[in-house]
Amino acid sequence: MAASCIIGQLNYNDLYGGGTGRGSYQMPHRLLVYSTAGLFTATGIYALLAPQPYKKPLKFDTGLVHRMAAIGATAGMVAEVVLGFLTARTADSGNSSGIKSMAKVHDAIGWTTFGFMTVAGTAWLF
Amino acid sequence: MLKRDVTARVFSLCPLAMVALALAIPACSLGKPDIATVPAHPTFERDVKPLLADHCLLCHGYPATRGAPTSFRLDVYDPPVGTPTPAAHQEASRFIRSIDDGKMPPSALWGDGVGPNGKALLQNWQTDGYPD
Repeated sequence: MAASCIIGQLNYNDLYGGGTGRGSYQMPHRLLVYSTAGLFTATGIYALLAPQPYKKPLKFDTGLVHRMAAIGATAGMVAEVVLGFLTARTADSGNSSGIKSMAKVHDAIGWTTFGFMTVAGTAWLF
Repeated sequence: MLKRDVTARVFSLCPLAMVALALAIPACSLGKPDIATVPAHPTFERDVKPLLADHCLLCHGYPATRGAPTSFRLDVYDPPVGTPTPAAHQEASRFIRSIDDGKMPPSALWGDGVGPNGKALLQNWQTDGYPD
């Protein structure tokens, strides 16, 4: 995920931030996001299929933080997949209207999702 | 017991899936719409250039971007004086063939190309000998 965000940021800078515009980071970014989305989905399915833990009262602990952050990361990941697909499809059709804004939102949601994942992972560890 | 829990969890994801689907539906029509009418005798500046601007110049302008080849440009009819890069006039037969074959723009592979009227416009332009 970290690599996807960093290469994605370089891709954004290259295409929209006054870079060379050559698209050198497009394929690396594509491969990384496919891997990230695949790993995230596999982890999510694994978590969904985990046995139900024993009942305990709801309170603010690392378990709750992990769940909240994981829900945020899931929402962000779904939005990223949809928005990334829309942005790439729009560019492939040659339609330049609104594409920079779409890419900017995609970039912002990507870093936010990375933040959620970091929190979820840290809470899970401790 | 375990099966019921899994079912409940999977169903709890339905709202999320519906939002994703709602966002994904517009993806089917992201390109520019086809032109309304086909001019019988199109010219580059009046008819072809706007079509190229809608479907090609995001990548095939000058300088070329997004991995497009730098060996030609489609934003001008002839290369400006002193620049050797072939322009739309010299590349016309090649890029029209790519569009007819459905190779360009890339999303033409999924039915989102220049449209039937756009293709007819380019064919008329070709028949007339690529007028400026």
